[in-house]
Amino acid sequence: MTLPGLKFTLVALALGLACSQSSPTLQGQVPLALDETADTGVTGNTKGNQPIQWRVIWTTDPQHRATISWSTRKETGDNHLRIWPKGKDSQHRKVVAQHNGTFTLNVSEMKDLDPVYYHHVRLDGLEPGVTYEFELNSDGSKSRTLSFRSAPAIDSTESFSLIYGGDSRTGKEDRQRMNRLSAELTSRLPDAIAFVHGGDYIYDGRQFLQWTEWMTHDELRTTSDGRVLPIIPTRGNHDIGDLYDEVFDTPGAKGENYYHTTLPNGVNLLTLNTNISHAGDQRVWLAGQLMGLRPDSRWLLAQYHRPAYPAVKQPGEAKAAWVPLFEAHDVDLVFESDGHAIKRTVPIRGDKLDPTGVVYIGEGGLGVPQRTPDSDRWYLQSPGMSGRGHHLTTVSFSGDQLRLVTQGFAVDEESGRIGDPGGDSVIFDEVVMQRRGAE
Amino acid sequence: MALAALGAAYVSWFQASSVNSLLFIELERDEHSARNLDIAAAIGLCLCAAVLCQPGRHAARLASGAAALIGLWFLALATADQVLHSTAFSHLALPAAALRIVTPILLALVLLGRSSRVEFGLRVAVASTFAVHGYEALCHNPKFLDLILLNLNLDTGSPLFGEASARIILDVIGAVDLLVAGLVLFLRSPALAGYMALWGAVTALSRCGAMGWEAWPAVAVRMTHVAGPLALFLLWRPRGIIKR
Ligand SMILES: [Fe+2]
Repeated sequence: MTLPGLKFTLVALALGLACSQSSPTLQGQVPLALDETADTGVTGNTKGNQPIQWRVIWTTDPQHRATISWSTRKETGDNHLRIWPKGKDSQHRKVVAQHNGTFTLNVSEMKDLDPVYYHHVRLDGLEPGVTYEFELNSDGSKSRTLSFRSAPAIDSTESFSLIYGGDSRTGKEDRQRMNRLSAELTSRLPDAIAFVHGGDYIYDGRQFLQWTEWMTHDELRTTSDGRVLPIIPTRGNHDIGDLYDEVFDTPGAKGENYYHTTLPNGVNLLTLNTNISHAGDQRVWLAGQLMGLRPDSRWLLAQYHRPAYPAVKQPGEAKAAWVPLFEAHDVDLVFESDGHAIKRTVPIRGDKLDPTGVVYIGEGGLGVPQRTPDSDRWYLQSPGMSGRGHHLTTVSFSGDQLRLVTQGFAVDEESGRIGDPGGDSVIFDEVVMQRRGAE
Repeated sequence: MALAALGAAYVSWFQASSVNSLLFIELERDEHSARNLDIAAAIGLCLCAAVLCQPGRHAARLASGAAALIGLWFLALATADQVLHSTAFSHLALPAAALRIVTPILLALVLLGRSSRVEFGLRVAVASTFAVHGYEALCHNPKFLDLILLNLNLDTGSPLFGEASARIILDVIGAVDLLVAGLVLFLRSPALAGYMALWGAVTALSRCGAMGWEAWPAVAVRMTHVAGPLALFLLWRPRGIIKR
């Protein structure tokens, strides 16, 4: 070792420490009141009982169930929605919000912020594959008319698409741009039925100010004609605390947040939680689900946040706890997030390339600055891929084929942010998978 | 110490350190700078490890600098972890990493012949790391649950140990960790220090037991959890070899 080399290292380390200690305010901690957000689709939001921040949430049985949620800035006594099959207003029914409460504020927020209230309507008895229009109402203040489509029947053979993305915790302008892209894709893809979010919605899950911004920005996924794509949520490592359950109406049981979503045409999606024990009760549940679902599944999918086959960081516990089960039960495709890069792995079995293996895609690009992936990793080599860009993946199921199209915006090399927010989206990756046994 | 440095170097070079994440994602520095810092840190840590592995009187000052640098890098990593809010327990990252930070720095002082407060510093660092890990165990940190479950269960669909059993085990581990964390501040017991070194080794190695050999950097960076209590054991054993 040479002394100049050591000196260089010393200087570099000292500079690094200095950088980390002289930090300005972290992005993501800037307070932003609900009605200060520009261009959110919330107009005339001057009354505190105006329903805002709408979202449609799917967990299990989206053919017949959904949660429709919204927020108000005042405590309201009468919270309900009117819902009817599209074009059949006369068949409308009124459903009262069964679950209302105050979003949890942390100690510092309590000093500066008035409470904000959530309202969840848990819909049951929906008809599969029907477009419903609905109108939110809190103490007489109404939302505009919005719509969503219930999932087509599980034995339906019609084509459908999911939109998948994750990691929207920082880079708020880019987050909004990606939400607008999602709305554009939803308009272009009439068969899109849900948005699968891979988690890390915000930077610190215990800060309501961050969640309220996220919920406001999430309205941008609504199309110009009021179509809301239901969200299938996953907990990310930054989404700690109670607010996640308050925002998404406790998807899966409290403290678990893992669940099974039945999709049309024999497609099953298992949402897992990488914030809790992987190898305990969740693994037992996963093993049981996979065993029961595989025989009747045309496509078996899983999603969770921290990757088993990461493009940037080290593998999470999913690799040891879940991958052997995925392989034993022939899971087809897994959605991962957290790394802030684009990746599609080769099919993997036994930690090796195997045409019969599991493909992992991801891993997070809904606004968070994009990293350069470690493209030397064996599982990212051709026919897999990796890249850098803010991205969404449309996952389209048709017959025996599954088409993955990953698209979004190229990044500025230095910052990892969207290089040209006004520009058109580009396609980063496109691939067709054939159903097992259908070759 | 050298092993800990090599583990951290591997993470910086082949993955991304938490300092990199802090600089690039949260502080919006450009990726190249964050990456270059990681590369510089990796090279520096490898050089430090090499220096520490070279015994000899003339190298004492150099080795002291190397040890101090390793400690400072672990301080930077823990600070970044603390700020990043990336887990439910990240607010405890600094006290949890006390041994990783303090052991190399104390070694640097010893190498410079300044060993008057070393024992006290080491006891506080050992107590801090054990107390935080004990607290996290009592809170049933999911990572600890998985370490137990993945180490004790073979890869079968019907595990021998369920999550409920692992939670009970963690309650015991947490209580014992807190107890020994308190005792080490007041007792000069070689048996106590020996137990803590052994437990540090078991918990470090459990990373590879759970995740396989690719988790070796996680084992390596925890070698200070063995080295710190082991130094106390050597100090306290009846036929003391190390000068006080
Ligand atoms: Fe994450």
